[in-house]
Order: sequence, then structure tokens, then C-alpha cells
Amino acid sequence: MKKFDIIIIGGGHNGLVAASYLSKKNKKVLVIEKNENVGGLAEYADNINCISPIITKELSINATNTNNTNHIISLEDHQNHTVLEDNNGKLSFIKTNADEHDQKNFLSIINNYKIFSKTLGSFMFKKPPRVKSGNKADILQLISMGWKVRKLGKKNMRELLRVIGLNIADDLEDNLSNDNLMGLLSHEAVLGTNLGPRSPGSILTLLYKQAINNNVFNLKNIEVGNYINLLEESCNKNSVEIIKSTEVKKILTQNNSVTGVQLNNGEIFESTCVISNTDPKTTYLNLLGAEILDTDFIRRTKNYRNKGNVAKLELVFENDININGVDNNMYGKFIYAPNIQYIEHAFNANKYNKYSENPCLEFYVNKNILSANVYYVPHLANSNHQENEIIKKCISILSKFIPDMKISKEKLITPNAIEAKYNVAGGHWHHGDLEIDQLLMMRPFYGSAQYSTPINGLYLCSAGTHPGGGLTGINGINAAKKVIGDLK
Amino acid sequence: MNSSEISYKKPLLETPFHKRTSENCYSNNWYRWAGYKVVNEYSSTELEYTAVRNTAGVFDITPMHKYEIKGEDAKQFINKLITKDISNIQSNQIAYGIWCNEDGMVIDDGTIFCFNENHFRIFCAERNLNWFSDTATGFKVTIEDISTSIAALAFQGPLSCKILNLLKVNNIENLKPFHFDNYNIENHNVTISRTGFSGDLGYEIWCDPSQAIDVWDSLFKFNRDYKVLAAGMSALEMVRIEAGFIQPNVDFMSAEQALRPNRMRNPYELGLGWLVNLEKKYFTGKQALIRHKENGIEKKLVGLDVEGDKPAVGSVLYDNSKKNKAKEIGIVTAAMWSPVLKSNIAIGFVNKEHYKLGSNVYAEIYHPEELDYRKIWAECKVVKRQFFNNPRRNAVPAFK
Amino acid sequence: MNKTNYDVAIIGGGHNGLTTACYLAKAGLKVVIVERHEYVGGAAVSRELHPGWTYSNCSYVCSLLRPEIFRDLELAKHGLQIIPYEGSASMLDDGRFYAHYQDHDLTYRSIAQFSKKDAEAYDRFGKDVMRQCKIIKPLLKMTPPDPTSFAPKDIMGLFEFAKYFAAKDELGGLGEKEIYDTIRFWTMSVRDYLEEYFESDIVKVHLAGSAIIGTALGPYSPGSAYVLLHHYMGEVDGTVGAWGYARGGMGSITKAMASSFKANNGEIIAGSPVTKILIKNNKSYGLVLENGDEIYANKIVSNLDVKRTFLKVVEEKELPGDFYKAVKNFKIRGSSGKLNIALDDLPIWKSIPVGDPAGTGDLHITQSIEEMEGAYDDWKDGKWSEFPYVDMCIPSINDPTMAPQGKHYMSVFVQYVPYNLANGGWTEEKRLEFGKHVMGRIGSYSKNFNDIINHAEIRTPKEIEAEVGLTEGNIFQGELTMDQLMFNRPVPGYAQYKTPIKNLYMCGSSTHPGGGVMGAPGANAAREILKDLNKKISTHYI
Repeated sequence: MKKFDIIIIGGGHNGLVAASYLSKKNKKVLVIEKNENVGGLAEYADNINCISPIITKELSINATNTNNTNHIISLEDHQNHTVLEDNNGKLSFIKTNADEHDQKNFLSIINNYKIFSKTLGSFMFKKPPRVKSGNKADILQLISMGWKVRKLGKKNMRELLRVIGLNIADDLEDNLSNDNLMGLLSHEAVLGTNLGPRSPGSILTLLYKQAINNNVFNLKNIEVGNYINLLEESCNKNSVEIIKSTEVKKILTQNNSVTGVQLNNGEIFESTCVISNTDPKTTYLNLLGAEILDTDFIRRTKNYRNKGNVAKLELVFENDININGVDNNMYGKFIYAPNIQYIEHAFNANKYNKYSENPCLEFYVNKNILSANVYYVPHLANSNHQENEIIKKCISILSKFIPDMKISKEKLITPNAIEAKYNVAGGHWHHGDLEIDQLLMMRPFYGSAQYSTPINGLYLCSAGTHPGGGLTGINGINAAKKVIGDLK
Repeated sequence: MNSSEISYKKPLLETPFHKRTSENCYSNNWYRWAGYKVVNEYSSTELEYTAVRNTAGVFDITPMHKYEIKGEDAKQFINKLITKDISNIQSNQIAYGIWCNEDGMVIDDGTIFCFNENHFRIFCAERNLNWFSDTATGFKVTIEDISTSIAALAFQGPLSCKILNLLKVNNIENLKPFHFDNYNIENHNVTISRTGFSGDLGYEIWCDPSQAIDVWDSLFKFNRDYKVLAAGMSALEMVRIEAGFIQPNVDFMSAEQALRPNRMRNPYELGLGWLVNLEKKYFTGKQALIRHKENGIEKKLVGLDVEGDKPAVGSVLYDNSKKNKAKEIGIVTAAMWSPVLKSNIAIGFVNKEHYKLGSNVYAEIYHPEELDYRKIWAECKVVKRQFFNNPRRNAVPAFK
Repeated sequence: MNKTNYDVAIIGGGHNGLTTACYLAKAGLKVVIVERHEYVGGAAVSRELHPGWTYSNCSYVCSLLRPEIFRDLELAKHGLQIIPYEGSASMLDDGRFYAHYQDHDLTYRSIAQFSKKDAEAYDRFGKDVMRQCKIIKPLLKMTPPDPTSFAPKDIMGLFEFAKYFAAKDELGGLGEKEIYDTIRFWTMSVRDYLEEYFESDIVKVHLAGSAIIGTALGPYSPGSAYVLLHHYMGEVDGTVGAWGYARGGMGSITKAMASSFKANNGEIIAGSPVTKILIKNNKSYGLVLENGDEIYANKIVSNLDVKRTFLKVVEEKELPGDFYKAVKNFKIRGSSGKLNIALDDLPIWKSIPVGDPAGTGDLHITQSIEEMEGAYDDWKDGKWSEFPYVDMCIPSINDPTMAPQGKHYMSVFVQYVPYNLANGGWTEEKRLEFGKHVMGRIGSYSKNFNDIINHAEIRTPKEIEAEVGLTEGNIFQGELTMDQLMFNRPVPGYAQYKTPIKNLYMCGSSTHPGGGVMGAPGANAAREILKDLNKKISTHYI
């Protein structure tokens, strides 16, 4: 029976980050990955602007900006697309059907949001404090958070406290009139959430994502595969043992403390410290088992909202892809979310567990390959969607912009498929909705926040912890730091 | 009446004994219990109480909540639910247990009947279907609320065994306390358990609602020589205080129902620490209870022997014999003059400086006297909560 | 041209304007209320719009009115009586009905017909919501502190706020878990919140109704759970969450207030719309009425909603740009309609038997939260809901003064109805069609409803705006969303009943704590004005 200092369940990117960090601290670490390759859900992530600074700092990993996507194209039905250029976060219009007033206001909204997200950003990298724990460090951290908000100044603070509960549609409609621009920003706010543009809290999700990504538009600048390889190398270099194509069946415990894990084949690895990179529901209800959890805790676990609603579509064309009305050198991140009402209608279906008849798309084009995020395609608890129908809908939207489509291969990966392949309950990008009641010290829920669990020696490092998903590695680093702190 | 049919004209259900209980309820004094109408006082609480202590009393306890637990994990489920270990429970044995929430605060108590490893039945005072169902997550068990499908009587008092014996209930005298078995009362199949609230010899009889009236009548069959009385809730309240039993939402707030978090109580505070087995592998609230045990308790529910003869109902408790120097240290949750003990008894919370047996505390009693209140400053001695505990209660055979 | 001097002039005699007026008059000030209509009351009125029938034609039930105000203003002495009612019911398509009664055991059994678990969970839900009511209750009376301010009173206010949550005994010692529960309750959607307790559709939708009445949110919208409080935190004689009718209709409340006001030497100028607030050097000093009369006063208080106040009766040039923009962006979308129906007979329902007290309270016909959300989807698209949520009641069953003998008055609150229709705006024809549609929906649950309609007043947000003056017909004088509550209401930085104009105050439901016939905004505003005047009065509320 093999023994390790630390076992990490799931070789998703947070798992690798934690493994790499812990191995640098001279811990003997084992990573167990279900699939043939590590990386987990990162496989579907098109967008990372940059490697988050905390990764560079702690793991000395810095992937170079290889793709240099700096165009954002918001498609419009009459081919009056808006093209934006992003120069290290500085946005400018290349072309648009919006008037000058709207262009100016659009950029100023984004600037305002940037200020707010910077303030929020300072909360993101740290372990969130607990409210009323009686612990001095927590109180100091809460005061420092309050102070940071106050430092915004009267006007900005007031605006932040207002928009934090507001919906994106209202704020945009107050300041803009151009549908395409409003659709574009609403898209960034709601993609990957269980909100529509008119749902209160949809500005918060935008600020939140912006804080994590350090940019309002999350762009494909880093090749994700490359980044994952670097993480894996970093693990290998520090002699982290990574076992692939192996599934953990059970987390073993004794007297409320972790003793190791058991694999599907029955094999057991021993350790007094296990970090789960699977989502909270899977970790607690499947791997640990509800039998050893308090009833109130089970209730909270079940109440955690984790219905995913983004599907991935991959289309291979016979020829290189040309988009109407967009020059080749302007290709970048394409978005089809033409106006607020369109997105809201797409969202309506999601509420009733149906896929959107007219979905929103975000896609990248690489020669003859198109890879798109399609929403809303909600995870279904007891059935499956008619995937062909969804593909048809997407193709019919794309055909408005791509002349003479000849498709040789098509593949749709629904949240249900993501759930099955990666053991992410609900197939949710962020392992759980990003709404106020599931953020910060309340993520994923009371009794499980701050990366710890009710079981001694068991930790969480997945996107289900603060600050959520988005390939930031913050979850992995914070969890690892928590482990190191507890081991002392 | 079909119990599923509801009518605003009958907000309360009638138990299967209603025909008999209403015939005997001369005072027309009723009590609400879990959505049922049960008798509070038939004609005289004093006589009903005396029957329980002297011959035998019959209580209609049908409104008790009853849950059927079945499945291959039934035993593990129970062991996760309650704070004590029932690993060694045998068929036909009954366990008394409490269950707590994650903070180690008591939700309810109940008696748990073991039919076999895969089949249990829980009888309790509060509704617990949701708590049981949520606790059952991950276990192979089914939980069913069978409250309406079983009629129940408590048959308590020194003559209870003798009368069952006269009714030719085979070998009833050898039924051990906290055990149950199937018996026959005048051609009706019933389950009898040796349990009860009275602190004396007594049984609880469980039968199909269709046989309820016949079973009731049988118990009164020898009334010419042995005067058995139907007893109401008032009498039950008296005997349960004497026996030192506590009731959720009377002596403490159930943790599932308390609005104010600081009204919840842990088992140590309730003097039920003996029901907690921290060696057991796992149960809800274990971690919190380990902490509670370490940290000690701030207050405890104790028995009080109160000076004088005026019941200390609802009294506030103080630490000093001199009223003007006294500090509040607790509150009385139940109090009565005990006719059988000839003493003035009470159950109440006192703080940690005063919960040791033999401590003295003082109760301010507002005693109503002819439209006026007499304020009495009564000395109380902290005593064991079990005021009345007759050796008959546990004797086997129960009757010679 | 008439010119008169007062200590305080109040624009608008709605229940909040009257409440402010009463407290100020009690303090010995010379107070005048200037009211557009010939009658006072705003949205709390009783009107004989059909001979023989009295309609509570806007607000229709009472619970939130703070008992301290009732007592301070001696409203009983001035003729107000509240009649608690028995229960509420939802009628199902399959012929059954779901009901809540005053009797707890009966309610349990009624819910248990649909789900035993839900019947049990209802107690836990009730307890948790009650805890939220307890938490919010003192906040209603509080002038919200400005979190951005360094002024001692704001710092103290925030400190008090923090202390309140940290207190050991108040609220029974809230722990970390209860604080998170509170944040969850304030931010979650009512649907998600109810899902945590209940499994049955009808239980969920029946309870969710309270969260959407009057709001521009659907049951799936985050923040909607909080709105439950606006319908749960009321009380009738200490029974928290209970609702009642004002005897003689909702106008009885404001009539009693007006009478109390007059008893304290208050003056009411009726039938006189205010066209302008006179402002000089950023100080208000008077009002101009439609007939050209001018009224001078040291303090001006507006009971109008914040939009009407600052976009209609104050000139833009008098206002700071940021404030003006914030007022323009204030969200006050109307989402509700109202039908007031004179009936020749008592409606007989297909499901609820005649005589069952469930039929004497509020009645509903929505079958599931999905259907309710669908009604909201229609509204978002600028249509009235095809399957509207209706809150119906027949006050005349309990209140003999509302209709001729043997006949009845039915109030039907309809959610959702847009202020602007997407396909070309409201017309008389569409208004009637809307009314017919709603009555058709109700009719399908009744055996005789269609045959007993004697008269119906059909009101869309347009009519509500035209009659009451509520911008866009929003019944709360502004939506109750997180961005417009507490220190954000109505405008961040101006949540303390004051405005950028000196001596000009707000006292309507646009201010904290918001809508409902509660009186708290009016009383809070009075307290602030008295503070500024260094006047003290000793009452239960202030």
C-alpha cells in the first residue's frame, strides 16, 4: 500500500496547481486523474487572457502570449458587425454601427466597471474571511475589505453598492441605445451563469469575472493546452506522481479524519491529507458519502446550485472559414448575442430546462475549424437533449455569417456529457452558480468554505471554492496554502 | 372518518378511540395534540392521576408520530440519526434515543423499536419526516410516516400487568422493560411494549385502528373489582413530571423549531449526556458534541425540590436568599405539587454555578389567591430529575 | 393670488404624506397638505365607482401598517377598524384546492394532501422567514446610514447596525450560519429559496405569490425572496404575517389619518395639483398650485414618488447633474393591473365549497412557479400575461359596508401587466380586452362568475398612474430590488429623506423602507424633519 503526504483527486488545472505548489514545499504528492489526459475542463476553455499573476509568482510559470487575440467581433444580423480592438486592456472601436455617443458611453461603462472590479479583485486572491467566527484575522480581513471599498471614494462607492445588486440590462439601457453593444456586454456578463441580462446580480458576475481575468473581455491569448503542459511539467519536475485513466471511488476516513483514497479497481492509497478537485456535490455525496456527513450539511450540499448551461460545439469545415463583413486579419473572438432581448429569450428556455431555440454563440475560428460555446443548453437531471436539433439551430445562425457552409464534422458536448466525462455534477463551468449567496465566504456553502471541509485532512480546491472557475489557479494555490498552514 | 379528507369544520382529527373517550369525557375538556383532539381531563385530573399511581390509567396516545424505517441499511441509519450506539440492539428490544443537529442541539427524543436488523419503528413527539429523510441520504432505507395507521394506548400503573394477565395475555409478566412483543387481547392481535411516561410499571399497546374500541373495552373489563380509569393529558403531565421525563417545546425548544438560536439546547444541558456515545463512529452532531463536552455547559435542566406547597409554575430562579441581592440564574419549565411524593417539585434550568446536586436556589413564585397574587420567595434544592421511580417499573416478572 | 405661510407644506395626501403630516402637526407645527384630488388617500382609497359599491380600487388589504403609528395617530378613535381574515387558497386545474387557514393543524392537513413533507417543512420555512421578519423589523424604523459617509451619525448608524447583528441576546444571538442565511434570503430568488424547503408545485407557487406582487421581478429573479418580507412582516393584532381588511375599504385608513390630522389643527387643500416647487438659492420655500396660488412654508415634503417630484415639479436646473441622472434611472416599472368588480351574487368556485373560510381570504389560480415565471416572461416582452398571477379577494364577505345586501365586491390584483405594450401601446380596446382576458381566466375556475358580473373597473399601470400619480403605475413607488433598497433608496446618498434642495424632503414609498401601506417612510421622514427643527415629540414610533 502506497503512502503519500498529499493525494489530489482530479488532475484539472487547479489540481495541478495545488500539486505543483505543494511539491515545491517538499511534499510527496499524488495526483489521480480519471481521464487519459490532465487538464480536466480546461480542455473546453477557449479564453484565458493571461496566466494569473499568482501562478507566475508561486510556480514561476509564465506562458507566453501565443495567440494574440485582440479583436472582439459582435455579429449583427444585417452584417453591421462591431469590431473592437483590445490593446492590453485598452479598447478601441475598429468598426461599429453605434453612434459616437454610444461608443463613448460604452467605453466609459467598461472603465467604471474596471475600477469596481479592481476593488473586488483585491478580495479574489485571498482566502475569504468568515463572518462572526470570533477569529481576529477574519475580523481584520473584513475591516480591510470594507476599507478597500471605502477607498473608492464617495461617488464610486455609492455606484458600486448600487450596481452590485443591479442587472446588466438596466445599466446598459440607461446609458446606451445600440443593441449590438448592449448584447455584447450582456453576453460577457451572463455566459456561464444561470442568469439572463435582466436577472439582478448579472453586473456582479461581470465584475467578478473581470476581476479574475483582469479584463472585461476574456480573450484567447494563451493556448490552454500549452499552459496545462507547463503545469504538468512543473509537477513532473518536482516529482509529483500523476496517475491517469484512474478513477477514485471513495475517500476513506476514520474518526472524522481522512486516511486515504480507494480506486475503482479496489487499490488503496494512504494519506492523511486529500485535496478534492472535483466539485463539492460529487466530493461530498459520491466520494465521501452522505453517511458520514451531518444532516444539515447534506441539506446545504443538495441545495448548492450547479446546473450547467453552456455546451461546446466543434465544427470542421471542408474549406477555410470566411465570415461575412469581417476582414481576415480582424478575426478574433466572435460573439453572436445581437441584443438584450435575444439573450433574455434564450435564457427563458433555460429556466424551464429547455435548450434555447435561438441560442447565443461565442466562437473562435482557426482555418477550417470553428469552436463555439453555445448557451443556453441546460444540464438535464433525468434525460438528454436532442443534440442534433441544437446543432441545427447553431448552424442556421452561423449560416447567416458564413457563406456556403460545407461541414465535414460536427460535435456537440452538452453539460450532461461534461458531467459524465469529468465527474462535474451538473456539468457547470464554475462547478456552481456565481450568485451572491454562493460567493466569497459562502462558496460553496457554510461549513465548507475556506477550502476546508467537515472532515479533518480533506480539502477542496476546485472551481466550487472561492473565487470560482476561470482557470485562475487561485483556488489551487489558496487550498494548497491552507493545507501547508494546517500541517504546521 | 377518512383521515385524508379535510374539512374546515373539523380542524382536528379524532383518534380511533374517540367514541369511547368522548363518552367518558364528562368535563368536555379537550386538548390539541399533533392535529388530534384528545381528552385533557375526563372528569377529575386528581382521580385520573390517582388511578395511574394506585390501580391503572388508560391514556390515548395515538397522536404520537410513528415512522417506519425499512431497508438493508436501517440499523446504520438509526445509528447515524441518534447519539447513542445501538449496534447491539436485539429484535424486540427498544432503545430510547435523542437526535441532534450539526451543532449538537437536540431536535427530539423517541423510542426506537427494533423488529430486526432491517426494520425499525420510531415513536416521537414532533414531526420528523424531513429530518429523517434528509438524514437517510446515502442509505438504503425507506422512511414512511405511519402515524395514522396505528392506534395506541398507554396502560400505566401498578395493576396494569395484573389486568393484562386477567385478560389472558400470555406471559405478559415476563416482558422485560424496554422490550416489546406481539400478544393477543381477547382475540385481537396487538403489539405491547413495556414502556411509558409514568415512571411506574406500565405498558403501551399498539393495534390496528379497526380493533381500537375492542381493545379499549377489554382494559376496562374488570372495573368492578379493579377500578381502571381513562386518564387525560393533565394527569399524564403530572406523572411525566414526577418521572422526570422532558418534552420538546415544553422543557426545551427543538432545534428544528427554535426561532432564536440561543434557545437551542445540547444533550449535556438537558442532563441527557448518558445518551451520547462519542466513541461511536459517526452520527450527526458528533463533532459539535465533542466540543460541547470539552467546553462544558453554561446551564443544565435539573430537578428542584421547592420549599412550601405552592407550585413554582413559570418561576424565575435566583441565587440568593435575599431578594434584593439576588441574581437571575435560571427558569422553571414545569412544576407541580406531587400528591404521591407529598412534595413540591419542579424541573428547570439553572446556571453552571448551581446545577450540582444539593445546591440551593430560590424561586420567585406568583401564587394566585382570590384575585390577588402572593409573591413567595421559596428555597429550592437541586435534586435528581427523576422524582418518582418505583421498583415495580423494572421488576421481572412484573407480577407474581 | 392667495399667499399663505406655513411651517410645513406636504405635497400629496397619500397615507405616507398623511402620516408625516400627523406627526408634524402633533409636534405643534402649522402643517398643510396639498392634494391634487378632491379626496385624500393616494393609493389607499375607497371609492364609489359604481352606485352602491365601494371599491378599494388600488391597495386592497392591510397588514403592514405599523401598529405604533396606528396607536400614535389614534386611528381607532378616528374610525379605523381592521378585520382580520381567515386564510388564502389556490385553486387547482384538477378541481382540488390548496388552502392556508388560521388554524395551524388544518393548514398542516391541507398541505399534507399534496405533500406530507411540505406540510412539515412549512413550519421550518415559517420559522426561518419569521427570523428574517424579526431581523428587519427594527430596520424599518431606521433612517438608513450612508455607508460612504464619515459623518458621526452615519458611522454611529453603521456601528449600531453591526452591533445589532453581533448582539448576543437580541434576535436570540445570531450566529455565523444565521447571518449567511440572512444574506442568502436577501439575495436569492424566491424559487431557489422555496426549492430548499418544498417539493410540491402548488405549495411553492402559493407561497411565491407574495414575492412577486407589485414587483418587476419574476420568481426566478435573484432578490425576489426578499420581497416575501414585504408581505410577511405585517401583523394584525400581534399575529405576524396575518392580513386584514380595513372596514369600509382602504380609504378608511387615510380618512382616519386625515381626521387625526385635522384634530391636530392640520389643514388640507384638496383639488389643487402642485405645478412647481419654489426654489431660490438651492432652498425650497413654497409651492405653486395649478390655480396660481402660492403657498409658503419653511419645509416642503413631497409624498410624490421620486421621479414625479424631481422630473415634474422641480426644475432640472435646480438639481445636481448626477442626482438628476440617478432619478431618471430610478426603476419604477409598473407591473400590475387591478380589476374592481361589482358582483350580483357570491361567486361559486368549482373547487372551494361555499362557506369554507378558505374562500374568504385571498384566492389564486396559478398552478406552478413555471407558470408564474412564464407570466413574467410575457411582461418582459411588453405583453400582459397570458396566464396571469391573480390575487383575488372578496372583502364584502367580511365587511358589510362594501356592497349592497346580497351583492359583492371583488378586488382582483393582476400580475403582470406592462406600462407600455410592445405592439403599439395601450388603447381603450386593449384595456377592455385585457380585462376580459383576466375575467375569463377567473371564470374558468367558477361556476357562476361570468353571469354575476355587474360592473368592472379595469386598471392597467396607465390608469393607476393617471389616477394615483404613481409613475408608470408602480405600486411601490419604485422597484424593491437590491439596488434600490436601504441606503440606495431612492438614490444613493439621498436615502435619509432629504434631497439636494435644502428644506425639501421626501416621505413617500420611494424612500426606505419602501412600498405597502406601512406608514414607515412617512413616520421616518417626520422624525428627520423634527430632528432638523430641533423639535421633540414623545410618541410610540418616534
